[in-house]
Amino acid sequence: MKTFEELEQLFGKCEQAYLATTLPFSEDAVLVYGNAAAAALTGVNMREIAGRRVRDLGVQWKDRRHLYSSVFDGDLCLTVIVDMAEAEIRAEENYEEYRRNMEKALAAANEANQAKTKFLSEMSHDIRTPMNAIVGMTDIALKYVKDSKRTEDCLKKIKVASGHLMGLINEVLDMSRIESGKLTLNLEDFHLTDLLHSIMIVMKPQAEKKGIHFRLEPGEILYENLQGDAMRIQQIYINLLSNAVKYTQNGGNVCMRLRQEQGENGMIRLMAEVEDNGIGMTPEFVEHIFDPFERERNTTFSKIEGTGLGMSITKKLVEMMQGHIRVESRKGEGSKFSVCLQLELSDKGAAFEKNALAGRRVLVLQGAEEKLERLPGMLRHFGMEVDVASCGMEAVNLMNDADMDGTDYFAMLTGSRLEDMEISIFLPEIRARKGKDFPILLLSESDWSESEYLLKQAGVTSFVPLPLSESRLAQALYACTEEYRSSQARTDSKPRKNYRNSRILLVEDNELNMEIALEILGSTGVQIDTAYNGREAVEAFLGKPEFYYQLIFMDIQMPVMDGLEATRQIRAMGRADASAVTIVSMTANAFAEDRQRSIEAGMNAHITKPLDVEQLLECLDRWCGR
Amino acid sequence: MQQYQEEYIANTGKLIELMRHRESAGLQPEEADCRMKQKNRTVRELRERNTRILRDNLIPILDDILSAGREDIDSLVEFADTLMRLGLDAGVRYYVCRALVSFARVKEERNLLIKELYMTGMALFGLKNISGGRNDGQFCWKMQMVFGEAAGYIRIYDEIEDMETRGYIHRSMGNLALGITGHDRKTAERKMEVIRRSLQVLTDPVYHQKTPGLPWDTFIYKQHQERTTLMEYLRSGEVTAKIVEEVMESAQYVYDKQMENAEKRGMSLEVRWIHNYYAASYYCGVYTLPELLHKLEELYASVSFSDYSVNGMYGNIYFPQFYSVYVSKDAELTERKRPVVLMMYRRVAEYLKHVPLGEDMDKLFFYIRGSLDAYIEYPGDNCFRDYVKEVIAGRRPEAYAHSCRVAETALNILDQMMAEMPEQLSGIRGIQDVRELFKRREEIRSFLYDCCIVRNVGKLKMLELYEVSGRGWLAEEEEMHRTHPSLGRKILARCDSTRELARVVLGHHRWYDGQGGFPEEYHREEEQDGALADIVSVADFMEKGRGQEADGYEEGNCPEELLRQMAAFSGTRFSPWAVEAAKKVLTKLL
Repeated sequence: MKTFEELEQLFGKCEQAYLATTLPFSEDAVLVYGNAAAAALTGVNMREIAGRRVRDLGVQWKDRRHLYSSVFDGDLCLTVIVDMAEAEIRAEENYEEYRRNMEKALAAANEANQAKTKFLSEMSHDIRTPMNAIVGMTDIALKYVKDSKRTEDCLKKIKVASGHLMGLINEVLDMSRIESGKLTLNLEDFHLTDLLHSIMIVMKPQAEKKGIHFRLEPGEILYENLQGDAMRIQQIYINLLSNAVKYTQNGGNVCMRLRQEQGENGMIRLMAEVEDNGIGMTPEFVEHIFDPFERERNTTFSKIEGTGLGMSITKKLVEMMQGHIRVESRKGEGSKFSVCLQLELSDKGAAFEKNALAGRRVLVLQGAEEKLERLPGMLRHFGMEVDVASCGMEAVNLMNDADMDGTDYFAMLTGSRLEDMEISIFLPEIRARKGKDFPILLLSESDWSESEYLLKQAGVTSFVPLPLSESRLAQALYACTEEYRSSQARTDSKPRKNYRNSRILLVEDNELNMEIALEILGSTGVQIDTAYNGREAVEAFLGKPEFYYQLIFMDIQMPVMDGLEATRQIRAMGRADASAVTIVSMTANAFAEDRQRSIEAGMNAHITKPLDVEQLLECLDRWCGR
Repeated sequence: MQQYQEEYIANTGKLIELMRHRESAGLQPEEADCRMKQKNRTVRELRERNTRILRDNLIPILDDILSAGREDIDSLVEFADTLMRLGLDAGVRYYVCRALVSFARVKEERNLLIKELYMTGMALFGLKNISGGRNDGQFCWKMQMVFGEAAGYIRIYDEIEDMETRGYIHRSMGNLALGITGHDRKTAERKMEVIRRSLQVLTDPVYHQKTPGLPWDTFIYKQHQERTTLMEYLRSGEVTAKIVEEVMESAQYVYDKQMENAEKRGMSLEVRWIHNYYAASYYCGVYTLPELLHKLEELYASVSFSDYSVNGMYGNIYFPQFYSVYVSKDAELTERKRPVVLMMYRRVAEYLKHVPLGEDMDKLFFYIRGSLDAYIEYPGDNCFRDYVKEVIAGRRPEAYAHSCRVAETALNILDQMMAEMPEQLSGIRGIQDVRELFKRREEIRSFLYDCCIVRNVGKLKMLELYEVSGRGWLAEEEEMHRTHPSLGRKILARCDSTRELARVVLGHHRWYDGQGGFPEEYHREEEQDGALADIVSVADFMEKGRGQEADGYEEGNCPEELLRQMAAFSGTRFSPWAVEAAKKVLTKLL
């Protein structure tokens, strides 16, 4: 129950307001408060009104001059008695302003309502289209379940429609997260050429499928190691490139060019241009290109699918990175999108091991597809001696010369397809001749994961992603040197800390994950207690003496109590080790905001699932043992 | 050697003898046919036996070569050496030597490794020669790999004490040039460089002192001889004075050596060495083309028309081919020298009528088939189409008889189609109208007949594949066989009288629906005479199915089985119309 002063604060000035409320009430209701007007009217002191029944006040309540404000529960009554004559005069004065405000509010509400209606209408159409296909095709598949060919055809179509639907939902969710301010950017170190390689892997097959010539011109990369949200940066570029491919005819060109500029405050400006010679856009459309649900309609491309949210998301993401995006386009000629992002430099670049490479002789075998023009220059920059073969036969000739001269090659770097012979036949011969330790590095702009096994069987030692990066190249070559191998041998044999007197709490609800973690951690000799949910973890922590645990590995999503809440409760405990114990979250969730929530809940660090031996052991090294 | 190896070699020898035997020459087709069937049976049996020998005895050892005992390894080495010495079976040699290389690598037997690398290279060289020049790149780079690796041991020459192994290093270094083919500047320069390096080592007295027992003169001579193969490149206009000088030096060296040998034997210098020297003089710019032709005419006139030795065959048969090549270099000379060329061709035909059957028939045919690439056709005076047919008939009468049967069957199918479904022949020979089709019936029949006769002319480029193979084909050989339509097309496309046959020949093994067969470069839907290629294809299948294959690879089927097989392939491998007509033809024949 609120005190008199609190009620006075709330309702004391009520007579100045226009009150339109007329609510029935019981004569037996107990009054809780009466304002000054009420006191004047009833002749009862304001402080004494509270506690009396309505009927005891002896007021003619139906008199239009007096009104009450509200009634609670039938028995308790909050009374605010207003002099209506006075109130009406004041109300008229305020009415015009009020009406204007109300009209504005109504217009805004209508507009929002229309936008919502439009959104829902677009969405329901866009969702219904693939859903109809999924439902319809499923029905057909069930009907012809014994006709494997037909069923397969239906399933393929369902797969396509599902993919589209999934894309749509993802975009809507992204948009919703951006709009609600829930999307936060993850500031992490990333390697620019790795990011470009990932883009190549996604875009090259898309372009090839449509018969489009796709070129990525990375330019001179001054800074390879940057900081930013790599996933979102990739999303920006892929959105632009996917659109370029989507709206370019078979045989057309799509090109992405990059360059870097020194920005202010040590920042780097990463400028990208995505240019195509596709259908282009009208000036009218260009004005709305970044509005949600906008798509250029064109009879030739009437079957193009998309939510119309991609460009809108792209723009929002660019703006979140303090960047800007521009578009130039001419109908029938093509479009050019220019994006500038502000990124920070990372100081975590891999150390170049140029000295270890200098003086070594390598054989470069130019591929039929890959552009390795810059490769010899880079290798020479490392101080290496380079021989270049334009085809397999020439490589054999150079190898023969080197053998006869007694100047062996340190390694061979090759493209993934040769002009004059099949590489998977050629490389085993090289491997047989040069022995198992001879490094053969394959440079490719494609995703080699699919063919990795076969290529390694064929003799490839390791892969270098294209576009070329000096640091990646140097790392790959250095990894082939004796120095590196012996340093690795030393690292591998380096004894880890002694964990025998260390205790950790492992909180994980999934049996399999628990087993893996126990297997990995158990081998170190550390003492491990387990808990299967947050509550068990809190109880385990509470049940042990202070500073018993040095480290807690905490799963995030668990039944009964999740990891975040458990962490909060541990940190809130009034014991000396509550804020000192290290809590490391374990989750497969890669969203930056979720990681942020872990930190906010009081966690010290984060490791990703599936659990990795090195990650777990590094945590132990850092926070446990001696 | 082990017993299975000896048996294999003996069987292969027998088989080659059978294949080369030409007792059917001059027989009537029926009699030749009868002899051929009998011979085919024996050939088939021997091949099956040899294939079984390899499958049961050799392949298991090669599959697990690292577990092989010393006895097995030694016998394999001897087996491969014997095959090489006898010039037999490059395919099996290749597989055996490769396995020995793997063994030697793992067991770190350096001398064995060097030798078997060389032997592998030689086996590859053998396969390259069999392949008729088509797709020989796949053998060349591998030759470079193995010869190069063996040659690379020159860097630790002093560590290798075995004289024989040192010899393999020098041989391999010299043979690197064998795998360098082509006439572009880069290739030529590479070849020159390789030979230069090899000669530098071979003429270095230090090496002679280190290994005095090696045949240094032979090694050096071989390198000079190899260098003269570059002479054709010398006229390309891109060549440097150094290269000209080196080739000329080598030509002189070879000439002098041959002269020396001839004098030692009290004989005159063979025609080919004189010819080579003249050619080198021309390519190096000493002679002009008319001067060279004049020299060659003088040389040709000196060859006895009744000399049936290898030298005589070269002069009388091979020599005109070279003459044609030089004449073809200049349009005006081609016309001016028409009487000389035609006279040479007439003499070739006359010479062939008189040459006795003997040991050197293979050499004779080697010379004849070479002429297919250089023949000059003078419309109205000679006809390449007739010449090709003569060459085919001259090589193996039984094969010719088989082709005649295929041709007869094809004509029957054609007639059947003309009678019942002429519209399916629409477009052939550019004819769109059925009336014109009938009007030109004989011309079409003649064209189709010749297509059938010459359809396998490409095989002449790879005769060893068909005649020297004593077992089932290896994958590499099957691949070679699949090039014969393309090789045939290339031969036929050279001259006016055969150019139109070339497309049908190219398509006679490609499937009707384009989904199988070979070569892939043939697209039936784009071919004017596609329907004729369909007919040749079905006719060939029918005759082969009836057990009439000249090379004796397959046994015949009963007619019912043949009909079933044709029906099964209707619309895919074979044109459904041609099959429909062929079924009626076959039924009539029964």
